[in-house]
Amino acid sequence: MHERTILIIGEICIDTHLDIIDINGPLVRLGGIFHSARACSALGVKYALAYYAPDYLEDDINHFSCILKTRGCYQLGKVNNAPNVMLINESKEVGDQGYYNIIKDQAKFVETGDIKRIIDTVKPTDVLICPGRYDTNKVIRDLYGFDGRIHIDFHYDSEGILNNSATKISTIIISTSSLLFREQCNGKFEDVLSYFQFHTIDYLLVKENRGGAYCYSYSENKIYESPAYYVPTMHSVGVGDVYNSIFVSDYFETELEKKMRFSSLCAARYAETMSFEKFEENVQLTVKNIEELIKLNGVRLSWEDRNNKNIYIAAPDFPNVETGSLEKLADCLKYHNFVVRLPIRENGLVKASMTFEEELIIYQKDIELIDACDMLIAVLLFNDPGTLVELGMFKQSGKPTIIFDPYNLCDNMFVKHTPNFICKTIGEVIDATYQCLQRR
Amino acid sequence: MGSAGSGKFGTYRIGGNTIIGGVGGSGEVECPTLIENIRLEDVATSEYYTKYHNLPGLQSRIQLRDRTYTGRLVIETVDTQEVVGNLPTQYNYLLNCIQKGLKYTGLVISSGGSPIPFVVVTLNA
Repeated sequence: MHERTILIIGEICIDTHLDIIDINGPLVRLGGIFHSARACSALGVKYALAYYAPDYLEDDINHFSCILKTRGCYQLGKVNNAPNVMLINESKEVGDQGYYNIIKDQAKFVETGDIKRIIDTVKPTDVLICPGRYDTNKVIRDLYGFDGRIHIDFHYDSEGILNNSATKISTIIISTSSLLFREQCNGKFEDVLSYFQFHTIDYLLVKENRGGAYCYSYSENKIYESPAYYVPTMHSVGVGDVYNSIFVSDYFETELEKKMRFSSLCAARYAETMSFEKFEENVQLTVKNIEELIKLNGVRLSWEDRNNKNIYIAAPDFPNVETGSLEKLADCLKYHNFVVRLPIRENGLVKASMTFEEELIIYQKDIELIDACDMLIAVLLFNDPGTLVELGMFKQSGKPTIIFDPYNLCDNMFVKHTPNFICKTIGEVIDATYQCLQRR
Repeated sequence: MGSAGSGKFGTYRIGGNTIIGGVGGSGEVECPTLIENIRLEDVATSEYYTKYHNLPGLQSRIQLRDRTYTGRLVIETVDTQEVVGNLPTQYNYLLNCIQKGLKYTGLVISSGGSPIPFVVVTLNA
């Protein structure tokens, strides 16, 4: 029986998946704090919602919150002059997802509820805050004196939300996808600690996307780590919210690593489907078999470790070749903090006018680059002999190789059986990269 | 004149002609009924190889063990239940399928000792 009741505070929007086309067009569903609601509902965690949303969504919010067995659904504020519709260009987070919030700059947030009154009614043990463009700072200040635990996800719109606030925070949650982590904290744990140094915190959870997570316990001065669990991913939207709500629930209260692994397993379950019923069935199965599942080796490859992984991209990266898919692949790898090495751009292009000696210098530099890299991805834009020779040379080093074959060119026996993975999409390449470079 | 647009919430159905576009590629994967050409890991240190210094031959019958072994899903022989190798972790999601009651059996389609011991299998649910 769950003892905790979680009040989840944040915006509700409409997620519109432009790359997942259902019978009616792009797939739509309620997003924002509804992702956490689905997780709590599927696991039988007691929870309530305090939300900001446009009035026109009220009936749908009430309808679906009933389906998701909420203990209460309270409007904290309205969003006027904007529809809160989020267009999602790329659902799987292979690279930057390209979120686009329609006419977001003209949104006006009007408070209609009172957080203290909602707290008095719901009597939560925990409050999970998902910051938004509403006055999150005021909500946090209004929670001063709340005698439960407060957890904040610093993913979006979190600038200055703790200013002038003496409210005690139990958990700070931050993702490596967030601007706060990447830019203000330079992608470094020490900088994250410095950023929050003036606040009293129990736990600092850093979620590292497909590479796992770590959690710093201030009282123990200890870092706990857990892996990510690979599943065939359908989408990544709201997966972090699922992780958060399970992490702050009372599952494995005293076993932090187990709690992290369980949260990660359930988040993976969310990523593999758009069906709530299937998600619910799968997480229930996860709960039932947790002792078995928790032993599974997952993928652990920290954000900082990834920045030490050099990936050699073998491809006909020539001026007269359409290299759009190569550029996209490089961008996606960089988004995940891998180091992309493009030999022609680093060492130069061999031209017909070059002497034998000049050509040899470039060849030698490319060989040195191959030796210095941890993995090779051969991009088959066409059957370029140079790309295939580089693949073969790299294979002999014993280091992992991947073929990215977007045009189905790979039919030669040697080419087919040489790499560790043959991938048709960039999504598959990213997954395979984590598999190849994960900690052993 | 009409306009295009999404109809309403709650229309998504698994297998309902959903198309996944963009760089991501494939869509929702149910428990697969066939997985071909799986190259097993850690074959040289597996129970079978360390015991016999040999590998199961072509067409040997194998199965996916219904529980984890040292944190991994493993492939074992049908006859003796000796571990032949670890399933790559990308297939860990099959544990969910096993727990739903599916049983995966299959055949060795390739094995050999050079340059290091290797076994390739195909699995059917």
